[in-house]
Amino acid sequence: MANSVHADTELIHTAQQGDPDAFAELVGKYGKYVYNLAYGLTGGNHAEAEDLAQMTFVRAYRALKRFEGRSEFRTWLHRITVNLWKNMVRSQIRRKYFQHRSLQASLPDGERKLSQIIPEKGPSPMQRVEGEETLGIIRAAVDQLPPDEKAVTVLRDLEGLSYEEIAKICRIPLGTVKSRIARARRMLRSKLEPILRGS
Amino acid sequence: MECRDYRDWLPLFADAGLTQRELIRLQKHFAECPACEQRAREYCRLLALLKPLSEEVKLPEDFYLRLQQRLQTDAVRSSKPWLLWPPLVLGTTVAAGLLLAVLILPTTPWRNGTPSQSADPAGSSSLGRATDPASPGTEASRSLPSRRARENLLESRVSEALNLARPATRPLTPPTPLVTQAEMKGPELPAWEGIALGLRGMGRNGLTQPVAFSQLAPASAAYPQPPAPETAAVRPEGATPFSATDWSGEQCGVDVPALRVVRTPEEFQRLWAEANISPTMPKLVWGTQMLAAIFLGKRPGKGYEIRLQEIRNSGSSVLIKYTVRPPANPQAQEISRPYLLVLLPYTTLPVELQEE
Repeated sequence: MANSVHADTELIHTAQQGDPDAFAELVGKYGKYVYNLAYGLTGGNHAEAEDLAQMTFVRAYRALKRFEGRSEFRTWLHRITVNLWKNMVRSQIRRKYFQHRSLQASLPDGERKLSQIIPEKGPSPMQRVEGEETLGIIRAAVDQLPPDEKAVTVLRDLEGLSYEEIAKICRIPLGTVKSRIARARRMLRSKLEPILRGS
Repeated sequence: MECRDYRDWLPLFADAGLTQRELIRLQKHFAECPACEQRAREYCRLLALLKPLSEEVKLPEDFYLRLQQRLQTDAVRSSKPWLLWPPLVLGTTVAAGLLLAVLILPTTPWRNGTPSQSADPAGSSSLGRATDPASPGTEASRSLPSRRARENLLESRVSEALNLARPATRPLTPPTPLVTQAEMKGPELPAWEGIALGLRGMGRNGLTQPVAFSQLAPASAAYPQPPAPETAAVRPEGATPFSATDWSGEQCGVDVPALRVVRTPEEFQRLWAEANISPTMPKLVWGTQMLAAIFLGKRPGKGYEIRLQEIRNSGSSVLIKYTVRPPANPQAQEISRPYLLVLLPYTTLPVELQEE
């Protein structure tokens, strides 16, 4: 691990000096980690995960000169990934909000509202067990967590990072990491109760 | 402490999220409260349920190529920031122009109420001053583009390194690029500039050929999209530029399996009319580039995907290896006509196909 960090330091330094091969090597080394994190955050969507991972490296390349080595390179990349993903989610929420508003507003009185036509949250977990793969349900449950809780869950339970690493990546106190993880697991337990009882 | 106080700890019990002290207290509580112990077990099962989601996902095989394109696109975009913020920059430009005019006016003949003796308007006069190497503002105005130019050059080199130098320099081996310069060693082929299309229509050559870039690699190309040949076929002329996703698709006008090799604009015109893929033709650099079009003909079902695997120049021919991913439901009523267009460096060698 120490050797890896040392090798990274040299690579990063060389890349900061403008050596493209060094940056390419860093991409090669960390590409899979970034992609896996992106895959978890985007709810198992390959296209979105690839987009997010690439945005991460483009952003990292732009900001490489400002990287001072105060955290590990992987932590830094993960932080970029999580922040970009949160921005994406925020903009998606904004878009959905405005679309929703305009659709509702355009409906004449007496007609059914959009929410009456399309149920807000699909069928219950129990109903979905019958029709879908269990794994899909579990992934969907993680995907429906609020962004802050989802980020820590993906980092901890999918990526296997330590609580301390998560605190550094998200730049939040350790206690907040724990409380978010606890909250996320309570939500997941409640959503996945039928599966948990059955397993 | 009561049960509800311990319940905040239960979700963290399973993966050492508690301190030693908290853990000991909780275990003591379990001895008295089977309900809490049961709930703690459920959290352990929950983590076990999440385990399959943590399995490593492989990087898409063309990840590095797309990243290369992204870096290039980013370089192009960041070199022209005024394109992104026209209102802001327009306002700034007007303000700067006014400021310059105020500064310049005292030194021009206009100050005395006489029209300038030169035919140049005030704007061009100020431009002349700004580009004067002796002017104090010149250093700043010169250094910015040169720095940007250096950055762009560096980004291009990074992109190049990602695509070409990676196998030699990377200790951990990510997916090998489908086509490398080394693979295209051939007496007749010009320098291989990362050319190979396919992979859902990604036009790599757009990265290195500025002429073709605007047509082959729009910024949106970096976002993988499912091929949408139907919409491309009905797209009104001039409404949308030729999309990178049009390089492969499921619908075209060719009903029988065929390989068409195109080396001239006339041949390309004919092919484009026959293939009926999109009203907008991409631009190619004739004499440097050529095109191989692979048509699979009519096939039952929907969801085909042709993937370019490798292009190999043996010296006597150019071999294009590809795979065809069949649709999930081949019994469906729909009929597909899958196609893949492959951009190649110009060569007179025969082109051959091999499905893997």
